Amino acid sequence: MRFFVRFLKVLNSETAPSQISLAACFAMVAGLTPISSPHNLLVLLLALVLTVNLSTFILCLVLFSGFSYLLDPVFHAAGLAILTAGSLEGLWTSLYNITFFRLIGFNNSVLMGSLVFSLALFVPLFFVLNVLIRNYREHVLEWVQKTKFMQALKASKFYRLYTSYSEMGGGGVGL
Amino acid sequence: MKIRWQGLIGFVVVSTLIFAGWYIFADGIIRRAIERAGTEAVGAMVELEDADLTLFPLGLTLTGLEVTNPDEPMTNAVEVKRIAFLIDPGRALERKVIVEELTADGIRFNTPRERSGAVDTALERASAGVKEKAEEVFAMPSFDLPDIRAVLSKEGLKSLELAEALKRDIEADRKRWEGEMKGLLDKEKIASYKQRIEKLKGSKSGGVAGLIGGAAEAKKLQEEISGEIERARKLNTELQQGIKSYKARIEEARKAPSEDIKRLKEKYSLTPEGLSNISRNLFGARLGGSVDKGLGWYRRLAPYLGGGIEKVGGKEVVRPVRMKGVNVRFTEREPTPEFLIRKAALSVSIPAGEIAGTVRDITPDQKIIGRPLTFDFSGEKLEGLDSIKLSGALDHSDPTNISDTASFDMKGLRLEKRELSVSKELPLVLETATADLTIDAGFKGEAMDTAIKAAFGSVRVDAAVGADAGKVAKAFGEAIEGIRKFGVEAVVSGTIDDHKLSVSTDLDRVLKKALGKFVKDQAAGFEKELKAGILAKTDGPLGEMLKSYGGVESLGGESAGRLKQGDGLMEELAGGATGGILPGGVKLPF
Repeated sequence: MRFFVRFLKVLNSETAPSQISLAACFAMVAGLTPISSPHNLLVLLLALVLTVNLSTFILCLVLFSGFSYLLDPVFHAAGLAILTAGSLEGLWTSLYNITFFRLIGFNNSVLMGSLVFSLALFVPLFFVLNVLIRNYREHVLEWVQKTKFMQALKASKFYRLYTSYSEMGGGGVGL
Repeated sequence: MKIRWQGLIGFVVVSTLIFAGWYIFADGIIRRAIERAGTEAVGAMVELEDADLTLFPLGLTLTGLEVTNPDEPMTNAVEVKRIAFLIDPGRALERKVIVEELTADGIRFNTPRERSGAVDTALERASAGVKEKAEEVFAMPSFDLPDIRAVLSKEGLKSLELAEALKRDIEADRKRWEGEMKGLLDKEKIASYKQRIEKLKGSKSGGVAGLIGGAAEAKKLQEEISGEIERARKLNTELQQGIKSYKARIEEARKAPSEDIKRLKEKYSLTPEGLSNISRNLFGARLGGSVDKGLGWYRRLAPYLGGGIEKVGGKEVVRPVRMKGVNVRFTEREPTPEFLIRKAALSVSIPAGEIAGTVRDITPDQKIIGRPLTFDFSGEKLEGLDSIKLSGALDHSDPTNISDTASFDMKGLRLEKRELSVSKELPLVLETATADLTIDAGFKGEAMDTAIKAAFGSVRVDAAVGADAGKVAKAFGEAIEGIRKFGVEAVVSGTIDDHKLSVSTDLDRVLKKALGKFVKDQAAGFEKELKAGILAKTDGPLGEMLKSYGGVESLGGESAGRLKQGDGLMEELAGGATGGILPGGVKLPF
């Protein structure tokens, strides 16, 4: 709830759309691939060092992790097809003999499938989300602010307490 | 996009927290992973008291490992006090577990459990295991001959069935044939035909008109007689064939009591051949149980030497223990298995003391290292045992040519108070003995060939023969009590799933010598009584059957006689020696 409120606040604020989009894209990579895979440390580093919106990152990470359970069979089939493709055998054999790549477990079918899928979607998703956020702010935001849901949310004690706490400087870095 | 440098601190903090959390929980994660994988492999609960992971140097110590026997859930097949090993850190980064040396202390077998270690899949096998165990101790067959009347009232007699069926069939046919013979060329008819022939003879000199009238009458008479003869001939043929068939069946029915006697004698009396089976079964049941248990464990462990490697799209894939999907394997510059224990130094506690040994090259990827798993254990001057040695090799390096061998050599095992037979009439207890045992087991793919040799010396057997035991049981008890040494040899051949155990022992010779004549005489007496009993039962029905057959035979004679008379009439009518009825040599068309 806390991250959802923060996300709404960010979405409705002047925060650059690219910060929100990039956070969602990083979350997609970390969420769709097996969470304990070592490459996700790099994703975490990028999410923390680049000025992306962390509330969006955390919220989207939860959402994409949920999706990954449903998509695992698809990732397995895709990953296995990529790893057993004859034309790529030379590349995979070279990587297989490098300790770093063995450590990240690139030869696992689910990891390979999900990583290729999320990296392929990374750039398109980034631009699509940017466009969607801009359009939302221009055309939908005003209507959303007037909806009963937003009115009720804004009127809630939790929202008031949270916003006053945030204005006092709480809520973490760059949120 | 700007860089958030304080994020770097955040990353360090988060990474440290993740690593610290993993390290704190790693012991529990490893413990549960071992328990889960072990339980799945064995089919019964595998429990671990503690797992302790160290990073510098990278190693693992496991304490209190208990592996439940899937056939006896209240017993641990193996219990290990402590297992410790170091892992090659460089290879660990490649997700490989390479252990140079592993030590395991306090290995014990068949220890009792406080609570059942059964998992769902083991429940059925558990009950089967209890049954197997109960059958391990041989129950001696009864030495008393059964009561003949009881045997005959319980057993169906083929001879009786045959005699009754035959009697029924003969009676039915006899009645039918008697019906068909009624009025067919019988005395009255023959007399009537003769009278008509005489009358025709008398009208020979009646002129042309008389000649023509006589010929017509002769033709009519001839047709009548000919029809009767035809029916009589058909019936006679059927009767003679029936008599022939019944003769064969009567012969079979006469022999049937002998066959009944032979069958029941083999079933109920103790033959000298059966006597040698007793000594074979005495050890066969026990050996069979041990062989089945050993093969059960071999069957469970063998797949792990093959690695569970599958092929997808021409590439080898391995299912990872914790991750999802499959790991695809590619050619390595320096091929090393995913898992390898180069040397395991094990210390095994058996009731006689401690046995030390080593197992080398434990890996599911033997084809990568090109060497088999080898094991070598030995112990000397143990309590109640002079020496024990176990060695062998499990070679799965070429999956198309699997070859496993094991040899076991035990000398000077002192045995005391071992139950050999649970028979009420003749319980046998091996009071004391020393035993030397050698086992040479070999597996080539699915085919197995195992030789077991045991030599027993300083034997003292207590045969507690019951007061109401029969003479054979008493003689058997005396003979076996007098034995001081004997040998047992067994061969297990066939396949792992369908094997045959053949046991031979020189006890047979001793028992045959002591009891052979006795048993033979007793069997002869039983046969005599059985013969009298069966004949008493079958004599009546066989006699009645023969009486019915006698009736059919006389019908056959009667039928043949009537046919002959019919033929005589025809001869007379056609002319024959006395001259024809029709004058001028006119021939009738018959």
